[in-house]
Amino acid sequence: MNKKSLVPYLMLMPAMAMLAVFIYGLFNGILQSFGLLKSAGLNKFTLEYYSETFRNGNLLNSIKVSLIISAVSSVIAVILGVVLSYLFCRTGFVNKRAYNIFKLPIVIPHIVVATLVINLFSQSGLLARLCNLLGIIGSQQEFIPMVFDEKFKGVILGYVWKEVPFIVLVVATIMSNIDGNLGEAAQNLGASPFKAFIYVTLPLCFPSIAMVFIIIFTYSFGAYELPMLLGPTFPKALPVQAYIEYTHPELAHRPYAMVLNTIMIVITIAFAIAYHFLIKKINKKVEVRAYD
Amino acid sequence: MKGLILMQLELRDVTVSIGGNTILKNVSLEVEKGEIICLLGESGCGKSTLLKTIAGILRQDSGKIFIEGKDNDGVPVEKRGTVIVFQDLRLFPHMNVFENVEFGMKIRGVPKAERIRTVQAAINSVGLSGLEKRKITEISGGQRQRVALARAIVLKPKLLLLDEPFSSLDESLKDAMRELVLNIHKQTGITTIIVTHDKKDALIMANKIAVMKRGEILQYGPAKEVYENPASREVADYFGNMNYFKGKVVSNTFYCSHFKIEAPVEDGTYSVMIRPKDLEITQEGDFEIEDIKYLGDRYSIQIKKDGDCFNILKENCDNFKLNQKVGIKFDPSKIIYFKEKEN
Amino acid sequence: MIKRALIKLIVFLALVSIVIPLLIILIWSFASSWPWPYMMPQNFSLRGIEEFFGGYSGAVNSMFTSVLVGIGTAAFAVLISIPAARAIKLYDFHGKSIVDFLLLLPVIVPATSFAMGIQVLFIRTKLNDTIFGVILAHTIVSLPYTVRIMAEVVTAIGNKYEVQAYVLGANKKDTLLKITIPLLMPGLVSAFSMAFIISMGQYFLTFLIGGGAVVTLPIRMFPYIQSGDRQIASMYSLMFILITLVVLLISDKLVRRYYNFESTYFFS
Repeated sequence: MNKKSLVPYLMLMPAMAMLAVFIYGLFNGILQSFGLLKSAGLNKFTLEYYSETFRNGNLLNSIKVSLIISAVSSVIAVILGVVLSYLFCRTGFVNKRAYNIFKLPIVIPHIVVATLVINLFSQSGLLARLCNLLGIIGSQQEFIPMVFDEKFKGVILGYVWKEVPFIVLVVATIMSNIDGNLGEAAQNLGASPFKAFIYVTLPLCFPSIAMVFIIIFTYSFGAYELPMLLGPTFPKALPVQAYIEYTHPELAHRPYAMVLNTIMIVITIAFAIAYHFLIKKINKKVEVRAYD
Repeated sequence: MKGLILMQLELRDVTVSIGGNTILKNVSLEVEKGEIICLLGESGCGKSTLLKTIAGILRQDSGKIFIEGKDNDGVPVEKRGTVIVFQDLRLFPHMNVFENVEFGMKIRGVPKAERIRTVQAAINSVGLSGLEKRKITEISGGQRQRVALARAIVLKPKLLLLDEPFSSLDESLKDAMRELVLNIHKQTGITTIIVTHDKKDALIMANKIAVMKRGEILQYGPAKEVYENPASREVADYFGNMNYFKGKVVSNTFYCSHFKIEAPVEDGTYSVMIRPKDLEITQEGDFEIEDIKYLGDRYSIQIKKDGDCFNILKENCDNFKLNQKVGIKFDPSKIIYFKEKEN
Repeated sequence: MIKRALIKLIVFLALVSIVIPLLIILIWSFASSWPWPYMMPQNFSLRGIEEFFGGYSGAVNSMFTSVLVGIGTAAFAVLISIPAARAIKLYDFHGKSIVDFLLLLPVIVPATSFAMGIQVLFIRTKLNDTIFGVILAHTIVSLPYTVRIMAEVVTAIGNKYEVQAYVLGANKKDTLLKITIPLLMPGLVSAFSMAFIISMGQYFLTFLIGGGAVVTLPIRMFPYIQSGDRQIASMYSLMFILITLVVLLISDKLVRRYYNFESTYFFS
């Protein structure tokens, strides 16, 4: 069956060609970060741009800021998401019509999310007005800056708003399947609903929770829109700073942008590898569940 | 009050509906301590629903469930002490064999030393010694069944509920598992209710059988009684293909188109049931042999007359051939009368 | 009882925190003056609608560009995904694990880095500043999702029905047209709408590859958000949400007709 071995490769060709373009883009960026950019007359391999980046407090700060944004928003989102999944499962809300409303943010692009955050949380936003109405603050300036602030509160809020429903959509489905079946068995063996959840349902959901965590962490780590629209002028998030370096009028400056990009690529690929093995594990789990 | 015997389980007029459909209609059942009861019926008859209702997974719309004389209305699943071995087993995939069996005791906070002792004993008694550390995926279907059984019996439940426990096993494994369940029952004396569609399970294992259909119990009694004196044609049909002769009884004589016989019942329309093994054929008569099938240990013979077909089971049929004219005879004490509605 | 009420309250609050921001968008879209510190607009107007549909803003053009790019991307991605998904699910071959991993990359590695790395190639091949170039770039980032959806459908139906068709004497063409494609239909529709939505929402990738020549809705609306024009930004957002919902509704209707299909999760 010589033919059989060639057919799948042919079928995969178009998709692989597309992915090759993607990987070419990443490699191109990585090469430039080592000072290999012919069009700017650079063709000598060097680590100079890296060492300079790590000496430059500004750039280092961007890396730190981005890590903090994605870590904080992802952790908050995962905790809220898992708790809500649990409540939604136990109340049977996942099967109600209103549950569809909860899915809405998943299809709303981040640029629209930025508009929502500004409308609600800026110093002249609805929340500030409500505080004013209730007499908590007397003027706009008294409202804690939540948008364009150095702590990136608006950015984090935006991510959380969009990510929680995503987590719930993934986790609640799996959770209610496990809970209805193995959770019921655990209760039948004497576990209270809460204990059944802690000992049986949650451990079995864990790989899926880790998977969504990786997806949202890497997304918020590398996305441009929210930190650009809702972040302060200083410090700047990694993708925003990378783009600023990228648009530097001098082409010879571009390797600095690519150093930042390479850092994003390396960190996210490390996550991709983790994700890859998680998926394998989950698939195994699914088989486990399918055995009976 | 029902005499002096304390019922382990008593159902009084339990009605259950799911999504607007009535699944169980006024089911009443009494189970004595230490008995094995089989709920026998085809799929969809409500027998699994009854099991889940007893365990508290489903709630009855009306009626009462008494376990050890106590009304269990509102008692949650985990506090009932009625453990189901589900048809799909539901072993926890993230725990090994030992941890699965240990789960219920751990939840109850049983001290570790006692836990290990009990769990090990249970694993030994179901014949899984040496497999304690195996993952659920690393053992066979029959072994999983044993894990599920061990996981239930370590809890010494007030009622052990088995939902189609052997349906996924092949014939040889089934026999071994039946043996195992009976052995465990002998050792522990746990009151056990088995849901099954296999009459063999019921006849081999049960002290009493409850035959169910359309959410009702048609007949409930000792296995032998249900088999030998079925209360209705539906019950009788559950145990095999029966022969029925429809006719009338007039002043203690049953008349049908094929024979007449003295009948110890009141006048009316009746179907007379004769089991294939109780019907015999003779060389003289006007029935015709339509078909002879060889079943290995015996023959199934089909005879016909005026459009009516009857089945006979015989150990040998050397003297009979296809299309031969034959007669029938039977022992009058082996026949059963079912009264039919007049029309 | 208190516990139940508390849980109900939390579920309610979760819903409210989704709905309120969207309601505010709706109100802002029609507010002409909504100064501090009022909780409701002082005046309503259709300025937003006029601005959007009034031609001079180019919003309608952008909407068409967005939809065109979205449809192009979706068609492209789906066409590529069908054979890929079938190869992954129905064949056994060396390097399957690598293919799985590669298909994961565009989900995890930021499109931002990809965009900056690939722009030079697109400029050199004259793909930059063209709609086709943008479609190509969008297709790459949608591919992991469309392949996964198609793979789910392929797994669900397998090739047993095709084998049955062959056994019954159908030829390759008949089997493809009468068996394979109808069975894949729900997946096709889901994958299509998924790629469409992903494409519609892209900003940075479109910004770099489109280079100012391909002005989709996000590109057009970005400056309004930056300059703080909430009415216009809200109006654009509203239109955005409406288009997305219409697409989802249509695909939902189409898919439901076949069977209930829980679509693959995506995040973009």
